[in-house]
Amino acid sequence: MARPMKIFAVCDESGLTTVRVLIRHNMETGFRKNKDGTLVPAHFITNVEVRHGKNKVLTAEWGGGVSKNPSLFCYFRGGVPGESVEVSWIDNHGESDQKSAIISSG
Amino acid sequence: MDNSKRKFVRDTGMLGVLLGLADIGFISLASGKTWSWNKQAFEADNLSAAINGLTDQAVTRDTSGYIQFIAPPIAENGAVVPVGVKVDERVRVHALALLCEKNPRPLAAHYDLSPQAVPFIRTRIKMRETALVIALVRTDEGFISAEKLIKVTRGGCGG
Repeated sequence: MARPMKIFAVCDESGLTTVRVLIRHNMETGFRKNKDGTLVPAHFITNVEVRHGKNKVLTAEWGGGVSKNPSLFCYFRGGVPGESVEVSWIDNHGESDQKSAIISSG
Repeated sequence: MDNSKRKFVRDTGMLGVLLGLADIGFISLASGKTWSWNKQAFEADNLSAAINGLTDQAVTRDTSGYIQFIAPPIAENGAVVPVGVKVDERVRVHALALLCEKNPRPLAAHYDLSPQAVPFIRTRIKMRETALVIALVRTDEGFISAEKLIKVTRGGCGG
């Protein structure tokens, strides 16, 4: 797993910042069976947070119903190119990651 | 829009949220950051139980067309169904949940939005079979919901 996530943040002329996050994660529901019939244990991201400076723009809670290698798009106002957006997540095994990206002008 | 009945709904809603906090399981990270995850709602195995896990208030159907789905009518692969939910920006959206009627765990995702966030979320969810996808939105004036039927030609259990 543990491949770093990708974050793209672009602010357009109207002041709308689009944040696109791609995370590498298996997102196992706990319902899927291996070829030998045993259940694959649940392993999925439970929380994602998107911050712009000190502000929490969005916090997500996820279940196993989110697809493998999840993507998240969100949009906010008040961002300026050159500022940073920080994204962090944690899964049900306590694994976590965080990364930031600079807002570009688009 | 802002008559006393609506205000009552909003005020009691806030009380409900405060009471509800007591039920939420907390997960802590080594860094000291605290995360909350609504175990009751996410582990519910049917749609009404999942919605009950999110709110005990009445949910009204969005008859004003505030909620818009951006999703294909037919998904070839149920493991990866792109779903976007956009709410009219005149509505202050506090939270938005995405549920899939026929999944073993209907609640897929729940988002809390700051006032800075535009009420538009796009993500990819799993769908076991053709089913309704439901967006449940918490606004200043209570909960509204909308649904869209998405046909799945290949099930998403493979995750």
